[in-house]
Amino acid sequence: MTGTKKEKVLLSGNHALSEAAIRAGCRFYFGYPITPQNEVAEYMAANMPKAGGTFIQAESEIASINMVLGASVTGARAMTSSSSPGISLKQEGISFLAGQELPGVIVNIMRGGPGLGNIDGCQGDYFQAVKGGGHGDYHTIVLAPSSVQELADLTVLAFDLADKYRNPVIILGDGQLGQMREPVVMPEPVRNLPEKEWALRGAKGRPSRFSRSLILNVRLMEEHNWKLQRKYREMELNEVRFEGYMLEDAEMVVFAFGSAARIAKGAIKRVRKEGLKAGLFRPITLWPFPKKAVRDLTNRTKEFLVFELNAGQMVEDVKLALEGKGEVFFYGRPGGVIPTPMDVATIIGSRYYQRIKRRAK
Amino acid sequence: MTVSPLLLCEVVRYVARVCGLQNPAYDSPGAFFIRLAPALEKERDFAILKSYALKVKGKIKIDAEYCKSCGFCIEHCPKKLIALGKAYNSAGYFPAQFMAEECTGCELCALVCPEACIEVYRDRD
Amino acid sequence: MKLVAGRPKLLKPKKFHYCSGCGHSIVHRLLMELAEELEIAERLLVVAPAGCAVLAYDYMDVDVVESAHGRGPAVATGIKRSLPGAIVFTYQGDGDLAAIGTAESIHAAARGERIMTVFINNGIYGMTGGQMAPTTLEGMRATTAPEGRSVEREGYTLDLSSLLAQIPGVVYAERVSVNSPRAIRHAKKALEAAIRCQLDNEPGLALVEVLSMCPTNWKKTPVESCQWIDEVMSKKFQLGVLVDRRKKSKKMAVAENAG
Repeated sequence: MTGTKKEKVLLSGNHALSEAAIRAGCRFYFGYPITPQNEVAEYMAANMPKAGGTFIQAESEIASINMVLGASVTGARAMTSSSSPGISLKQEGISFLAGQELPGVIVNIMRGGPGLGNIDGCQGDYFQAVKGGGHGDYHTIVLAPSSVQELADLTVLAFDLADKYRNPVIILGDGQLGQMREPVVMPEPVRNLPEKEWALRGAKGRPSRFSRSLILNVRLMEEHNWKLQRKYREMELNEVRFEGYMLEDAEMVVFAFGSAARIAKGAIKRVRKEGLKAGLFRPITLWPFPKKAVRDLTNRTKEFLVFELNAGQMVEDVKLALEGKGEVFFYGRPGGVIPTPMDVATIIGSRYYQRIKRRAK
Repeated sequence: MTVSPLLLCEVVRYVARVCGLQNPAYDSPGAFFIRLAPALEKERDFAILKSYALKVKGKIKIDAEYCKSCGFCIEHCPKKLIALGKAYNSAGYFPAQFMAEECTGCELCALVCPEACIEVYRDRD
Repeated sequence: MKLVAGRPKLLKPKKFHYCSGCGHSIVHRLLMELAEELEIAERLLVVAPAGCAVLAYDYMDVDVVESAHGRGPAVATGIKRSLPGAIVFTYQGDGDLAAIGTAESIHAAARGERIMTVFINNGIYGMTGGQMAPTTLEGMRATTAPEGRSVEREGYTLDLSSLLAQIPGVVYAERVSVNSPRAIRHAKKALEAAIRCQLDNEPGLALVEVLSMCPTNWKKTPVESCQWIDEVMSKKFQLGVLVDRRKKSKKMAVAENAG
């Protein structure tokens, strides 16, 4: 698809992220069908070869993440996508990418779980994405878009961050985001990709090198781990992203990410009409989590409400970040149920009345 | 009429060149025999025969630190010129030792050595 | 006197950690000799397995990428698709290729990936201490089949190479061994033919299975292990070309029929 500058096109999330990836210079897509992200693989099958890239429908999600590793070690921008159960399968591969210090972009269009779950959008993979998922001391940057436009923009950012830090990056979307259609301004195609002198392309004119995560000597392994940790500290300092909505005079702050944040925004607009001073804090990077910004909120208020489409995952990180300086109420709907903004407004309202209005009397 | 092995291989070398087979293996009679050996059943006997025909002299050097006493070179030397030594190396193995002067440089020991620690020398190809 | 045989330059001057009499050492040497002779070292990428040969990069002086257990063919696919001009081979053991990596092995073959797979078959899991492998023979003892493999308890020995050979995407498959000078020379020829498949851009995967000695886990001396391959192992895993679909061979076959 060729859009001229600033032209808006109506695209589904799955299509938008695929096109954005191609524009970001990704020339290798390896994937496996699973609802609700099949459109990504189908778009890539049609368009990746046109862009001079390679599309392979692999035999499994495990094979696809390992193909990403293979392409990535040669310096190429490579990605894979899947949904919750398939992402579980990729965990070893993601840990390997982190251990071998290789870039890679993994898109999780979340669905209901656990187990086979269902095909509706859900946010039950926060723990899996943010707390490791795979084995060992590593982190992946986790980006959580809440609109199709943001999904396209964060896809380009994902490749840049993956290359910058030589680390895998996860884009955490969900079924709604993948399927919904919104007007998008597609990002400009990337012209110059970063040089990767560390890549393996055959030992021509230089000593041979190897890419591995096995380090049998425990002291060397410890040092390797500290090196990775230093990278993660850098990410925590430099890559935190979040959005605040109506926080300036908020007496209660609602936390939500991704699709839940869209609903929460609608809910906040409704309670604001009733005179309730609620605001939204929307983390965009779930890892690194905006800990400092969250703690700073306690200067304004002590009342917090976390709304997620799961049984309670990000709420734990919110509590940790608040360092005990606030009261946290959790409202969650796992299983793919999508409450309306009115439903959530009712919850916010009743909690607000319990905690704030009553105190004011 | 008996055909000397030397004449036979010169003929084959000529034919190979004419057919355009530029394999360096065919560049010398000694190397040719070594390449031909797999096609023959009695490899060991042939190695001995070749050594008498060509009157080739050779010697080998075994890197004792690498040797793991697997015994392959001892098993396959056609003239039984290698044996386990009495001294051990830093890994606790008793490295194989080259014992005698009648080596023909047939390269069988280097071929079977898993540790790639045998060097073979020949004074004439 | 002239040096006529010695350690290949592409084998780093490091003592192998492999056991005395292990087939890995021999195959490493043959591969590095070939890399030098065919002048491909500068564009060679090797995918190392999980298993005894996980440290292959300590010995092979070429670019080497580690892979998760069994996923070598997938990693090699990513590499070769990114660098079509490179020579890529996976180096895998029996667990890697025929147990956990069965799907990757079959599908890389089905897709006709232009890579080579070196399959080191020693009928046992070496690195982890001698557990049963898919290729463990009936009656052979392993730590997880202490009474010897029986069909009723542990199932049949799996000959994955023969299954792979049926896939049209496999352009060349041969089974060799490294238990005698003649076998080693023949193995080198087979490995060379497999590498040449990539040099000649044959449209498919080349597979060389090597019956390899594992004296430690077979509880035999190195020389006994070599004999056991001849007497027992190669009766089940028969040596020879399993399939040859190379364009080159077809041309030669056609020429023979015509001439």
